Amino acid sequence: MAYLDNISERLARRLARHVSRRSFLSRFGAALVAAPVLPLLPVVRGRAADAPSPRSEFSERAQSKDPAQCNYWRYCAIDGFLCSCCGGGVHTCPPGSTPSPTSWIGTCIHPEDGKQYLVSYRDCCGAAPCGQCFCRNTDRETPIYRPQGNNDIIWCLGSTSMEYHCSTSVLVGLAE
Amino acid sequence: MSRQLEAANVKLSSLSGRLGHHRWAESALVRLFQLCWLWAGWTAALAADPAGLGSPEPAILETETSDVAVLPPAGPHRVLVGSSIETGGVRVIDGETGNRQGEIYTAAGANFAIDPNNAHYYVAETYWSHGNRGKRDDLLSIYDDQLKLVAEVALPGRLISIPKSPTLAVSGDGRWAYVYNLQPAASVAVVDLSVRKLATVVEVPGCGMVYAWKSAGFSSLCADGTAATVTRRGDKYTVGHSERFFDAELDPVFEESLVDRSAEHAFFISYTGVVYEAQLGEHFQILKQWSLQQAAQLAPATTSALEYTWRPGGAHFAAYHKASGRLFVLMHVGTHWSHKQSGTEIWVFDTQRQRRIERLAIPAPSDAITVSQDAEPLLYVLTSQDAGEAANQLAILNAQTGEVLRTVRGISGSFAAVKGF
Repeated sequence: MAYLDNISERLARRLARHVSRRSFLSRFGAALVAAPVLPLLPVVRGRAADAPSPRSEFSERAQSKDPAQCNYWRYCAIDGFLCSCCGGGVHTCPPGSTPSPTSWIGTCIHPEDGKQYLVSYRDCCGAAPCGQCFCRNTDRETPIYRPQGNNDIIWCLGSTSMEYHCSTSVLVGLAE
Repeated sequence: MSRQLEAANVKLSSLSGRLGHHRWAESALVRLFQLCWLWAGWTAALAADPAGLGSPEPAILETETSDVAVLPPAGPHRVLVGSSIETGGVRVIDGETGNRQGEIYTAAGANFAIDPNNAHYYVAETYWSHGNRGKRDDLLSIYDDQLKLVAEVALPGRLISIPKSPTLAVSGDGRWAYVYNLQPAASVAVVDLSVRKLATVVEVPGCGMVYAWKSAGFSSLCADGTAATVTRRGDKYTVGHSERFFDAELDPVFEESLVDRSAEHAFFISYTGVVYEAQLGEHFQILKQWSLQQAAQLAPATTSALEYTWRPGGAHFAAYHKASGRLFVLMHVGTHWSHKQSGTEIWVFDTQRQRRIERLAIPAPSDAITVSQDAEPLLYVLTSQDAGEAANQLAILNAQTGEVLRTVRGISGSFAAVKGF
């Protein structure tokens, strides 16, 4: 369970760095309401099940050099326009947009070390759809009734604007 | 004409005067010019009256006023196409001809539904007072059979996503509309269409989407692999759960699974192609469980992520013809987790015998299909946005033979809908 501690610590530190206390309280309140819907430990749930091989058609073709390509390893469950092609980066929103406080979760395999990493797909919101580098990857992507794994929801929930601009992939930590 | 000729002669005289006192040159120039005018006039007269017989003056065209065409009563082959996350609008198309008949205005990302009684069209949509910000208004907009807005019902919210048809459902009797919301708690807004007012909001924690019954409630699908059964008792709704019947994490059932609302009969189809036929209602029951691949004499697909076989996929990937019991499914060759891959063929199943009876070729890969519910059904196939030159087309097929009858270009949308389903 040590990796869970690490992930929790990193998430908490990231939150502390980027979110004001007032903002945190409002989002935490929303998270409490959402708790029945958004299980907080998708990785544990995945391991608890009789998980099949994590390899996939995507992971067989993934690369770790060019984040402006759909087969960049961290994009295994991304659906939308890559912020890397819109003036932002892998985990960076382009100017004129803001990262959403909510996200969906994926587990992708790094092609170099073969390990599984937990990634948080965070939409950048507030600007019109970027229209560049559209990708539709679906590793372990689940329907809307299991929202934490769904990439069709406009994940700008909690943002000041519901306008979708592009999607980023934020590394959270090892998933094993 | 003579006045113009005279004026031209005066100008020519002036010009010749400047040339000097060569009277012969002046005279020749004027004569030449007069001849040109005569020739031009004769040519014009011949063009207007080639027979040279003379004709009455043409009748003056009547003045006109702007008006609006009357939308004819909906036949069984009317199809509506719309719900795009990029652009608004629902196109009304006559499947018999492929002609556009009208349009319903919607916001981008809206969802729409057809009244089972064919009297109205419903749109669930969201607007902001300042475009991408400002006051948010979630609405159920109600249009009559001439596509005129007749009412707006304010909603407490709605899920905004790539449009999915089960985020808005109308009961089989046409009395109730259900709008799914995730903000971020899961709930369903219930609208009483008889008075066009919000009746209540039902919380469905851990569940999502709406699969309407004939009258007394609706079902949702849940992250724990059950179905929620939401039953109306007076003004209240009670929420129960079925037994767990699928694995929502490893082999979920598609959101765009099919429900015959009048019979309360559902086909929940999983990523690997398992069909769970269910009786909806307060006492949810799985009636049958079968495999699309086995029905086609193939081995059932597994959740192995590197196993290539025929699998269902796309978005609005299946359709059901109630009278014949035929199920149409977009199929492609792919691995597990290729559930959004466009279909390259449509497989037709006899659901009574659980046998594949046809494999239909389609003009281009597709993500969305539907079928009319009459005795001579048409199959509507929306081509994928990734289909190159064939993208954004509506192909209209004979649902029994697979013959492509006509293709309508410039039609985009997440799904198509017909009356009766």
